[in-house]
Amino acid sequence: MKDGLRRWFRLRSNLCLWVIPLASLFGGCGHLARVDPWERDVLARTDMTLDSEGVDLELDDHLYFSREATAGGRSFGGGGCGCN
Amino acid sequence: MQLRGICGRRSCTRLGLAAATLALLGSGDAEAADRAPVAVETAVLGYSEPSRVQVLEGVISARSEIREGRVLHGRLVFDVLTGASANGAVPSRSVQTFTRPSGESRYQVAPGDTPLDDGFSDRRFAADLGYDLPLDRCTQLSVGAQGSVETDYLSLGIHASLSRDFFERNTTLGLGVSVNRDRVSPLGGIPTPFAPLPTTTRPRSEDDEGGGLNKTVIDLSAGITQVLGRNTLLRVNYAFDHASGYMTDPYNVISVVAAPSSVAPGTVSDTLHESRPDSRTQHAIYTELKRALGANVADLSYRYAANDWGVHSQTVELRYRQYFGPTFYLQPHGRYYHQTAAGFYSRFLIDASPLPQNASADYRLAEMETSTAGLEVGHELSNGRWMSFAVEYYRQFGIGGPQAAFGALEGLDLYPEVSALTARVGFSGEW
Repeated sequence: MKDGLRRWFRLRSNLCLWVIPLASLFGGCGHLARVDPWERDVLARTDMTLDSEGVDLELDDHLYFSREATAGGRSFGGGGCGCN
Repeated sequence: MQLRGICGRRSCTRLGLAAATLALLGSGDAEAADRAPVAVETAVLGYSEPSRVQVLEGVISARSEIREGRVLHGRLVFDVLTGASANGAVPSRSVQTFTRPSGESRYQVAPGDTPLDDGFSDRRFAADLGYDLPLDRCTQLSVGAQGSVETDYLSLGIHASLSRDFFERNTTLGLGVSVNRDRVSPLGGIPTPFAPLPTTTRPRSEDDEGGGLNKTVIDLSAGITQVLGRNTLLRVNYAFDHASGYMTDPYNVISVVAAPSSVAPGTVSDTLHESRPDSRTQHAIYTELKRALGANVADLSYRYAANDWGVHSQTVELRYRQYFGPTFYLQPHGRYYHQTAAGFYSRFLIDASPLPQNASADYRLAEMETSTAGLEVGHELSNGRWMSFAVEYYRQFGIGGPQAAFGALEGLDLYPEVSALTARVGFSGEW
């Protein structure tokens, strides 16, 4: 029963993991429009910068790097640490 | 003054005018013009696995525009790690005794307990220095070098990246490369793969200090960042990672147990050093969507990664920053991760069976799920300087492999869950 629930949850999770970003991508492309420089008030906010929480994200990524078998993708590469 | 530049199909005249205006406004403040502000970000993290590893890590990062468009940035990291770490052996019905990696002492594990090496201790110091310079109005080059030192590990590397804006900076393409050369010098020297763990202690010798092997890690990445609207950004990255050289964990061991057909099935007969392949190639796709919802910000990301050790992983992560006024926010954070087991992951080896080419009982190479739930609180102190505090609960569960317990192993927890609590204090601002 527990294994069955886990398999169902995993299947559902895997579907969600693919569907959410793809829906975001294609849904977003529907609104793809050029944003002029004077319309960048929101995008210019510090909290809208990608990797705006740089140090915090690096600490998190280092933690996951040392605890899991795969890492990287955002900006942090492997290597540089004997923890994994 | 040359104001015209091209970022894709249309001219950047308006951006050039905006830059010129800012420059003129800035020139009115002579003091500010003389000394560029330094943006500083710092954090201290405490990580604790009950009865296992404790980590204290501090980071300070600084960046400053030393000339127009040219930015110098650096980062220092220091961490201290102590406590007990799983050595890979299976629990047993009787007391187990293991020789520490240094060979100088031994430790015992009670019946039924997961074998943990409680003499685990290390310190790490890392530094990174980089320089960003514009090649033209729409293209930026970034170069840098990084280094990291531990008692038994040295890593030196260089990195470079190139980014170019298109379509009035609505699209940015980026390419990056990073090369690290690492030196692994374990306590007690490099163990021979599948050699039995010594059963007696010995004094440390000079030969132990000289042993070391190299590892080379090459990272390549290509990415696109796309503005999807006034409130929305999308980033898609592809990352290629190739590591070669000494990839084995010198401190990890693997138990050999008696075969199911033997007189005492499942009893531990020997403990061997592990062995891993000498190269690993990984591919990863990372997508991130960031969207402002009024004053609040949602950040959703997904990553798929696969390597030639047989590990496939998926990660989904969400951060949502909810403001309560302009100077205070709460930010819940959730993350889910699932990985399949490496092809050579094995919880134990069977006595009298042929040895595989490689085998490791490191649970981090097992099939596993992990989840993170956390909350961050941020408060603006003054002049755009922010302080934040975060707590997170991290759990590794669903750990497993292809082998089932039998004989004396039945009823023992071969795949124990691991949980950890982290607390982080951060501070950021300009001076």
